[in-house]
Amino acid sequence: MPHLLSPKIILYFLFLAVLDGTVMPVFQVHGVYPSFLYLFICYAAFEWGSHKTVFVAFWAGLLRDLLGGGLIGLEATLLTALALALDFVVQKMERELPGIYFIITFLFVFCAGSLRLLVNFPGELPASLLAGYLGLIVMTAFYTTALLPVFNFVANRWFGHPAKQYELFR
Amino acid sequence: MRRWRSYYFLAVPILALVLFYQYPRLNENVHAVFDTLARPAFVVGSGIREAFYSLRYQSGNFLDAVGKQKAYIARIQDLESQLLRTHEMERENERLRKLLNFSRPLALRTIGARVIGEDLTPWKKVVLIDKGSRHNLKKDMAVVVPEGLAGRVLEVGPYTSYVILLPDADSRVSALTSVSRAQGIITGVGASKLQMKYLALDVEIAIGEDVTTSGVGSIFPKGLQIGKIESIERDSDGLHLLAFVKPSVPFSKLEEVLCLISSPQK
Repeated sequence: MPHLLSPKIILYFLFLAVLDGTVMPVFQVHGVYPSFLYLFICYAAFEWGSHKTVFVAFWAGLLRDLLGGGLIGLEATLLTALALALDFVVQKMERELPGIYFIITFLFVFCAGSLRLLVNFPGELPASLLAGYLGLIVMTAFYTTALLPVFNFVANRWFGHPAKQYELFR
Repeated sequence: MRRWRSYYFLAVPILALVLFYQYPRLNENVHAVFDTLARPAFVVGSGIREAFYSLRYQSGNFLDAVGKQKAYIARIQDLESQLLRTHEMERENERLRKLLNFSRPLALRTIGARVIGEDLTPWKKVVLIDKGSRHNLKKDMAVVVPEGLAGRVLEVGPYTSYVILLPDADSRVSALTSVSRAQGIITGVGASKLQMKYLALDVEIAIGEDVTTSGVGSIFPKGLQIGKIESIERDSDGLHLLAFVKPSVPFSKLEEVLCLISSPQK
């Protein structure tokens, strides 16, 4: 795993930000497109172990804040807080369980979207709008999660696959 | 100890959030600096995006053309003969116009811009364009495309600007139906349809009727196409009608837009 302030990580962040902000809208389905910055946070949690996720989540959130044009720090705070929870879950999870990475990624993206919705509309939101927005969040979570294998492949090629010592003791 | 360090780290974004919430001007300036610095990357990204769009469009066109080759050949011949007649009519029209001393209506002054980024929040419909205050863009200028009204300029940086599109929930446009002349407010719901609110209960609006800007207020000129009425129902308050409007602008495929930099000439 490279150092968190290495050019490799910074370049990868910039690449993902440009991809998320400009290229991914081409691949939208019913107005929904995936976010690779979310996947990077999950990747950090799964592959690099705890304590790195928070840092990645902070920068990913900050980049999303800057790309979005809204209040800076909002998404960074939400994602950093969620990354703490993600770290906790990843430490406790049963890694052999089939599909566990997909489930956790889906839940992470869904929670990030829901929290953002909650913060954006703190008052009452009409039921029809709420249902529509939740639908968008679920679709975004599905679409983003579906790209997890592709993202892992590209990230492993870029950063190098980490050695998993526990596999030696199977 | 390392575990607690992660919790302490949470204080960094919270402090940033409080700081930028307290000083919105600083928030805007940081955005402007970031957008200016990141503009080359956005332009490269939008170039890649256009290449993908073009590839998708061309492949779709190719497959479509292969299936309809014979029909297209017949249609081309028909259109060519129509074109000859149209050219002749244009020349005749020009002669008559000069004869009657007609003056062409004065066009609005516009500036073209490319869409180079989009908001990442799924329900927000805000895009980033590659023109800013250095190109004479100002806040609240109307943004149009050939199909009709797209939105208005929300924030202006030196070299880039944010445009809020009609489907955004925060967008409001005063509108008018073309035949029944019913006035209402067009708002977005974040999805592909628009809502026309506050229509009087006694208006007789037909399905399929065109909806255009009413010109009320000083932002949008009158007569810009917005969409067509798709369905009408009574509003939840019972005091007004609520119409759903299918927008004429393909918001998911916006690549270039025009910003109106002068008000309509009277």
